[in-house]
Amino acid sequence: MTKKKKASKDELLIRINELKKENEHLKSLLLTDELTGLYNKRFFFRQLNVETARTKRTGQPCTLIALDLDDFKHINDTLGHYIGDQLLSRFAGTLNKIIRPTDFACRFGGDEFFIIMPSSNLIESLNVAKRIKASLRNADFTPYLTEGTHVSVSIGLAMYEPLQKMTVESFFKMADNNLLAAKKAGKNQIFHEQDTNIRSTVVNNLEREALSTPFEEITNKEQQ
Amino acid sequence: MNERPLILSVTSGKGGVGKTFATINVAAALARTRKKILVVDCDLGLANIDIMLGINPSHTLQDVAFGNKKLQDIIVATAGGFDLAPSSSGVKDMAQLLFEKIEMIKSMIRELSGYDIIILDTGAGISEVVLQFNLLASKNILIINKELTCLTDAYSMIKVMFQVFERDNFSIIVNTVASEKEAVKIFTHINSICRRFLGFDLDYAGYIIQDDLATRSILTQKIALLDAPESEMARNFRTISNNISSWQNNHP
Ligand SMILES: Nc1ncnc2c1ncn2[C@@H]1O[C@H](COP(=O)(O)OP(=O)(O)O)[C@@H](O)[C@H]1O
Ligand SMILES: [Mg+2]
Repeated sequence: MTKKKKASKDELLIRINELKKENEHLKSLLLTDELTGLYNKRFFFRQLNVETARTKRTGQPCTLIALDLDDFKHINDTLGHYIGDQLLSRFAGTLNKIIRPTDFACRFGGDEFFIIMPSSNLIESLNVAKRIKASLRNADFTPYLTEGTHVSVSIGLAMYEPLQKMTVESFFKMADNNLLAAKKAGKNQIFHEQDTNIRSTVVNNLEREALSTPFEEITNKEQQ
Repeated sequence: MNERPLILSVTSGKGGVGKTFATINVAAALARTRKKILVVDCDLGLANIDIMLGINPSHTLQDVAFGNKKLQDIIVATAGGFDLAPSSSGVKDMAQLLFEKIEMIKSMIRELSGYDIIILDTGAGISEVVLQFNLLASKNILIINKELTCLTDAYSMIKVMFQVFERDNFSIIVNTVASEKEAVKIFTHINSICRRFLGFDLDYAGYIIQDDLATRSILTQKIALLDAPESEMARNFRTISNNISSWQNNHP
């Protein structure tokens, strides 16, 4: 009787450990991207909130890098999804090699990636972005590509500064908008315009309209 | 002389609107009235007062930030009759100085004595560093012109300073205008928007006429006010200087 009980207790412990491991595994599945092993979108938004909150305590800005491979759809269509996936994994590996251990590289889905760089300024993230861009010229990808084709990336940067009244959403949008601008400007480049975006987050539509009203009208109104 | 100097900042939100040019000329005009004036080049990204004045400082704010010098030790006298705490541009990690270093520079400025007025020439944008220096000043002088982007950036700066830091003490200099009439129109425009959306008025420090004298004096590394004292531009700077002096008298 007692013997049996003891055995089941051991079993229980083993089972608990197994469950724990399973939990860890499930958790990692929830937060990582299966193909590349980078963090996923869910993790990204969680961490973005953590890091922006941290800037308020430390006073140090935090930056965000938005990346999108150029013409990736074309590569997928012409070379097939297998090669496409290989490229994405390779690219993820390159990101991991370049970023600091404290940064978070995330795959958003498709060929869209984000990197959160805690305690960094635009100059530091610009350096990382430049290195990523340069790394694509390396031989890493050539086995997959036909002669003469190459992979390039468009990049948008944004900086979150604790004193600014910027929401997490507008921080994210700023990086994304800069990425879009880089695409529009002809791809394979880095955009990091801060000012216009700050303008658009600080000034609301009513104020914008008032500002762009011709002076004459305003002065006339004042005098009435 | 007051115990504590009056600290002013010259700011804009947008770059290239004439902050630095206005700063050195207003400082020179104030110095002509026998006041002790210090200009601090707080544009850590694009410091250029030294270049505009043709001086080659051996030590800069960067040395202060990295703990190699005291603020007092980097100050130099200038041909404009005012003192200058210079910065050096192109030091890449300066544009976004660490928080503690900015705080350290700020407290060193706060502790300076022997000056009537300290003028902080800030950089472009609404970055952390610019906001910090604007906060150190008891009044912010905004340089604006008639361009919409400039007005929008200036308004953004005012709004952030007001909503985040509860500041409502701003003075406007309208730059590169054809006449005083135009300047007043532009001032009235932005003032009416501040009144309507933020609920307070700005004050008007004066205007600066558009004149190639600005570009020429910068090229020849001279101070327009001293180089062409009879010009309308020089008169504009003297008027602004008189207005600023009146703030100093009300300064506690
Ligand atoms: N009133 C003016 N008339 C003509 N040019 C001007 C005037 N004020 C400034 N400028 C020009 O604008 C340029 C930018 O001035 P600067 O003081 O360096 O701007 P900021 O410090 O705001 O970046 C200078 O080259 C200067 O010659
Ligand atoms: Mg300047």
